[in-house]
Amino acid sequence: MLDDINDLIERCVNKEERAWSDFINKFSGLVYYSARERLRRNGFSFSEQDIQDITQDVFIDIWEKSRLREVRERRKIKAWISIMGQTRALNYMRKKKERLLREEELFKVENVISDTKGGYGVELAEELTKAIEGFPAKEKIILKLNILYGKKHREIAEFMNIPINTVSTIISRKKETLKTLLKPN
Amino acid sequence: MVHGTNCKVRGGDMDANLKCLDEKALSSYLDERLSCSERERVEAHIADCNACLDMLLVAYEASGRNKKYPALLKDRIRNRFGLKQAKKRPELKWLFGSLFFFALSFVFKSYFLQFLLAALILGFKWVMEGEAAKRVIMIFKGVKDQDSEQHTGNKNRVEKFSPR
Repeated sequence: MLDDINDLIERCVNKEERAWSDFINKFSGLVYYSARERLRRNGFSFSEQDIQDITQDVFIDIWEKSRLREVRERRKIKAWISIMGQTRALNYMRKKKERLLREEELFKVENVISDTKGGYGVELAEELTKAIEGFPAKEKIILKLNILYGKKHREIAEFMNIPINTVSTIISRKKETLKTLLKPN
Repeated sequence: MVHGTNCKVRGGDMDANLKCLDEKALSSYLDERLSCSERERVEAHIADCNACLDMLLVAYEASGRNKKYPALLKDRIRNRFGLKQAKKRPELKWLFGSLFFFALSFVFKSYFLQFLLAALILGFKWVMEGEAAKRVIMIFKGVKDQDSEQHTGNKNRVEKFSPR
């Protein structure tokens, strides 16, 4: 399976048409999901057409600039493609906003940014950020992932590539500290 | 390692003063390709930068599963690159059906005629749905339309020059 991806990318680098078609088949869903999720979490209003344009732009960019040559660890390409999809999505919306501003279509600009904010409450995020300010970086990440994003211990351990016991210990220990810090006066 | 665009560019206004990580640095973190010190530097950044942490989280979630996307999107991208699609031959199912019934007619001799009739019907379907048959039908239609156009043209001309 992993060798398949390695081989597929190698053939894409050599600009084989069939391989490129398979590559699109394999990764369009990933780019599509990443772009849509990024815009949703950043509070943008977008259409289905926008997401399809972004997905297409990502593949054009990879093809025209031969971006696959830059990939060192080919078996683990998914994260790179997903992040690329997300950054292109944000750039796309920024350009769209600029274009609408240039065309003085202010009522449309308002439509680009919706009222919905990210996946967690802003107040909680602010309070938590303040409370954990002095904590070490690793602990800050673990607590944010657990409290703000509702991630399970296993998922956090996988995400950060650390043992699950470490995650569980930090969460149980620091939650007690947080309880006293966040106690209403 | 910590370089790239400003967080504000990424759409949110949180963490506006932090320099965000670039695509390579972010993906390297998830790919476990960083040395301990590099990893610590990335972690020091994402601990305070919600934009980068969120981006990594979406990438992590996206990598884990096969995502669904509109079927038309794949074709749209393929068309943009001028890639040929694998040729589908749906009419072949009629041919195989016809051959199947033809074979059955010899196996069950008491139903020879019934199976043969079914084989003939499916065979006819195969011929009519094939590219060649479609082309022949189109040519006939074209000729017929041309004839009728010529006929109405002549009729108009005759009407134009006929004495009132």
